[in-house]
Amino acid sequence: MSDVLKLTDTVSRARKHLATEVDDNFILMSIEHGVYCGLDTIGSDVWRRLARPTPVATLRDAVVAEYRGDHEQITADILELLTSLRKLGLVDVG
Amino acid sequence: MSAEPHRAAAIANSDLFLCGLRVRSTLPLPELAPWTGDDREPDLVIRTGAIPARLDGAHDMSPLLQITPQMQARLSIDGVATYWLRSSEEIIIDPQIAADRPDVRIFLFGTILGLLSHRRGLFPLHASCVRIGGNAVAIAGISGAGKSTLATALTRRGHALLSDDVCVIDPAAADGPAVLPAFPRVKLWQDSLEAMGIGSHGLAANRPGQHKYHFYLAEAANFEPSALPLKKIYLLSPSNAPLAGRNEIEKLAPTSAISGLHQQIYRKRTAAEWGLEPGLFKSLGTIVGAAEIYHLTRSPDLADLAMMVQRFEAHAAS
Repeated sequence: MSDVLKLTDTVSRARKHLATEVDDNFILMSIEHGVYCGLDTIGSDVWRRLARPTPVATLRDAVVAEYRGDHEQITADILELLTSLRKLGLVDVG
Repeated sequence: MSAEPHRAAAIANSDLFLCGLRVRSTLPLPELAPWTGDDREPDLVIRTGAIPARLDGAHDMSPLLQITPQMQARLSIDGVATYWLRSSEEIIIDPQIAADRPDVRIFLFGTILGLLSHRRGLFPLHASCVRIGGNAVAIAGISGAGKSTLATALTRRGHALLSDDVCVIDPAAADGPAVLPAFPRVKLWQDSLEAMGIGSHGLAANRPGQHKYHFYLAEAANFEPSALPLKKIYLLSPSNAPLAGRNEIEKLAPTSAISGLHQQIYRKRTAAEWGLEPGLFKSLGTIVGAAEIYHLTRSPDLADLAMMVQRFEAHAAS
């Protein structure tokens, strides 16, 4: 499995994690790695959409539609976010 | 409210108060305040009796603690007593020593109270708690961090105690997370007693030969019997070095607050075995959303206690 996620990958929340919300932002804990991770507004939005398996491109399109930011930048940010969440065992791919 | 109706109620029944529960016990529990609430049936019965050597379907959390998927627990402390958390409404104790010895109650008001809280959907935090300005202020931290010492010093400045060592929080209370008061007793090491000018003479030792003592707050005003909103939590850690130039109190951002408090959930491993950890973690978010969380570093020198207590008091009341 390649380290770099692609827009065609399908991602979902990993089963073994803890999640809570403070002021609408998610704070996650990876049980496997014993690491805590706070998400910002966009990260929390992405996490909400990961309740079911979703293609990365669909996530990207949803975020682009909502925040009207630079397409390339948002794509890069989302891939980076999902890659770190996968490293922490918080996101499954495929 | 005058003291007289309380006294009348205490004579009319010998039921006791613990974390909002009406407790009926065949075992003497001098720590607990008398029940002065409504005439409901007891919420919790504590009695002596025989306990099976092995609970049905038990899993060993440790050589001392068996738990079952039905959320029963059996704790066995050699030379003291065996404890059976049989349901949310019943605890059975089989003492190996005189039933009125304080050792018997240490584990009842420690591990067993923690597990009972988990069973009842409450959130036990490893913390002591006092009332400051009408709100509950919790002091959390590992054993030896100085929770009881700081809480007791605050009671001597007129702030009422809600709990010592195990702070039971109702995260789903209607007006936000609230602390359910436990009882007016703290456990203190001899050096802490001395730093506050309290003699250990006449106090019951926590364990035989141990220089840790049970200190009862005799004045009714020193105990707060009503549930209070939890507004501040201080995560206390002792410093190995003098604090010169360092901040004693620092506000924690949400992620640090969550991770710090998560590690202070009382009897968390057992709660996790019972499948309660996702719910507890969610409750942490509710607590951190409603209360300010700080890190508090204390000086290693008890001679600094009086100064620290005054600074703490000013901060917690602000």
